[in-house]
Amino acid sequence: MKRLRLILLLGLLGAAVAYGIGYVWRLHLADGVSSSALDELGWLKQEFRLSEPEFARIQSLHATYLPHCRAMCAQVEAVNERLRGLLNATNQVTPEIAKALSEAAEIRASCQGMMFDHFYEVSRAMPPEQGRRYLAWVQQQTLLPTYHGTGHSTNSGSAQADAPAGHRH
Amino acid sequence: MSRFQMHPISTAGRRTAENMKDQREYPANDPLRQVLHEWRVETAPPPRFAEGVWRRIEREQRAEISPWTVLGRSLSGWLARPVFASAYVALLLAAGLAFGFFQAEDKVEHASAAHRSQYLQSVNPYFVAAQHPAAP
Repeated sequence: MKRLRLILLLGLLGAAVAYGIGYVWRLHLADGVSSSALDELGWLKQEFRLSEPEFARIQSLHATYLPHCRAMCAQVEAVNERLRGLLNATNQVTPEIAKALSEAAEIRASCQGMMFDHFYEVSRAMPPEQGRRYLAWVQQQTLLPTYHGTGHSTNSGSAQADAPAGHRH
Repeated sequence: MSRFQMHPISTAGRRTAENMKDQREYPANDPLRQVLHEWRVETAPPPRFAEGVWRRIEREQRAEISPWTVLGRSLSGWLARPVFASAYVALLLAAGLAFGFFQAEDKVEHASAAHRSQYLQSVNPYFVAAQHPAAP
């Protein structure tokens, strides 16, 4: 009976240790992706396997792009706010609403143009294969609508972004 | 005084001890002993009486063993063999390893999704606008 208990205990202890090893091993394979200290660019570096010079170039592009992006964001917010006010003030499409909608469309087109400029620049800073993968992914996430089951959504507003295809950790 | 009247504990204890002593040292010429010695059973026991008695004894002995005891005994039997003991430990090791690996997989996937969303949020103004709509 003593021997039986010892073997049972040894098995359970071994399972607990193996659990820890499996857990740490998987995190190690993910190369720090799960780390909360990693920022969005750190993730980009790991996901698209960027070298230090490539990453430095992309960081610089990102830093240049961000102020423009924020300015665009403010414009989008402003025109949306104005549009909301106009839409709430009436029950039909007035010339002011049509004008505001047109402005919103212009801003959207300009914003998307600027965004895709940035995406192309970033993809050129990557190794060719990774650049293609990056472009396919950002297009899917920011422009093209995707359909899920019974409902549909555009990924430009989805909270959970799909993983880039072709590479899994 | 009645036959069954209780005596004080000390007296009763003493008497019981004396009685037991009397029984052990029963004299050989005691009439009861002689009667028992001369007693003969002339009626034949029912057929397969002895077999029935043994079966009852066996059944009662088996009923006394709990399922846990049976399980413990068979496990002991199996685990006493090195092959089965090694297989048991190896199985638990593999299960622990796989469970840990897949638990971490969930964590990695969750973190990866959060980083992807963070990146898109940082480069797409419409993503930001859609994520933080103005209050009504």
